[in-house]
Amino acid sequence: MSESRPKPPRARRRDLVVEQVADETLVYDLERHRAHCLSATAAWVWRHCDGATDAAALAARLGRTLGRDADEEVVRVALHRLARARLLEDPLPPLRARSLRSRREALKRVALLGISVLSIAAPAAGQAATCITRAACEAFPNGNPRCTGQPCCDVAGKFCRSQGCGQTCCCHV
Amino acid sequence: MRRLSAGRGIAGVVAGAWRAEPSPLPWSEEFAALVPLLVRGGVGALAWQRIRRSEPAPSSRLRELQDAYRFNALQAAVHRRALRDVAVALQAAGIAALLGKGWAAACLYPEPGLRPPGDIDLYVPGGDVPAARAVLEDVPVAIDLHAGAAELDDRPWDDLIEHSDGIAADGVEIRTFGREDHLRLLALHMLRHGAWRPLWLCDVAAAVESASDGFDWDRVRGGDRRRADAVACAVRLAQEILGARLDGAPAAVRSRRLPGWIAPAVLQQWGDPRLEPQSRRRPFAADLARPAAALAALVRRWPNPVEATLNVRAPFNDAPRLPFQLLECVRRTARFALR
Repeated sequence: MSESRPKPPRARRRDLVVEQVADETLVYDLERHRAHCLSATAAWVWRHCDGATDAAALAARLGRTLGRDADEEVVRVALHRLARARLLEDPLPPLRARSLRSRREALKRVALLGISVLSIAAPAAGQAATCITRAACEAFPNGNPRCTGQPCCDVAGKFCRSQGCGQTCCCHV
Repeated sequence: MRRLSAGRGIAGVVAGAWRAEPSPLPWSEEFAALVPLLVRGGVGALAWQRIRRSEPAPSSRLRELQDAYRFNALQAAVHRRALRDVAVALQAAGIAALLGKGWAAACLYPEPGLRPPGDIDLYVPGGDVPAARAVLEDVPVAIDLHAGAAELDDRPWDDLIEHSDGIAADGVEIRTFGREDHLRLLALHMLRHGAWRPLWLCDVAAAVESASDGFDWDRVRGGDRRRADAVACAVRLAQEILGARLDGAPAAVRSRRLPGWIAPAVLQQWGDPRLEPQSRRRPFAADLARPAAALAALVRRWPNPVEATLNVRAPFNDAPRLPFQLLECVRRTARFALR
């Protein structure tokens, strides 16, 4: 019995703000209030996830663009990093179990190609001029657009969010 | 003494960082120790702007500064998008609003990533606040809606509108305070909060240095004389602490002598790791039930000489500040009791 082929990856576009700064692509997830920084190569892979091109074809095109070898395994690792950052529409099948050595080599090739998807930490509450009290934050029903990650005054290191809260917004990491 | 030297260190790091081509700054252990204070003060990205030019080796402390820059750039993009919705919604409702501080101040810098945009500060005439609040309810960013322009209430609202400038936010024009009024607003707002954030003094420096031909210093210095003098003091402070260039400023501003206490008072706050700014304190009422907590809360609320001087409308001179600080305490207590 043959395995069904996984769907080619499709980049998520909704609820994202994308900003190009020098050679980095910065992405802000308006739904989760998380920020990510994509290296030029990771951004290339992400932009070419059109829902029709599979990992092998992406690898071939990436190799031509960079003028160097980019195998399917390397693209799969990049796709998994993008998926982990919730920048793809659909979940990906798990990476095939491989020997430690071949995995290490694949990661080395990923590093050589400069494929990185970093999470950007929100600066400490100090960077925002004003904060919101816990009571004021919890007064908003969950999903209220005002729960945008403003720092909570009385709970150090936490921000007023919808994610991970109950019926109301809450001060959360 | 340690706080003062940390404050001086911060001043040295951000001096001139608001310029398009700041001088590079080498990374050092001393610099690394200042990172939490730089980020807290909102100047992490400005520090990054100087340090990246010396091509330092990667480190986790350095990453904090770089992330501050990246985060600011993204927040600025988020705000730009939100401001487009704000401008359209307010125009449809026929409400004349002015944008100040935050995102408007970030426009004074060569790149949006250099300054955290903070909240969106919108100023509307007092009577329009309920209508504006209703219109802005669904905008997904924190909006600080001001009834009138407190620091600029010595000039009529219509005059502020007449002198306002337009800036584009994603293709839609939004009105901001005119350059002169904005400098005045930035300076007085900074002093009212005791100048605890180095970022605010950088804003003043950037606003002064962006004053080109046609900048009306008479308008900056007009209106209430005490406030005008406070603004001159803030501008001189930007020169003294951060090396702001006052080439185009009138002699009256350039020659304004600063009282000896002011620069150390500001620098000590910048370098104080335990500083708890007003906007972040627990409400005083929450501590009233426990005497020890109430006493500690009172100590934390002891006004610094800069905010006390401005808030009790005292002159920025060499006289001792203690009477004004006591007066400010009385003023705050009375306000709290009346609430």
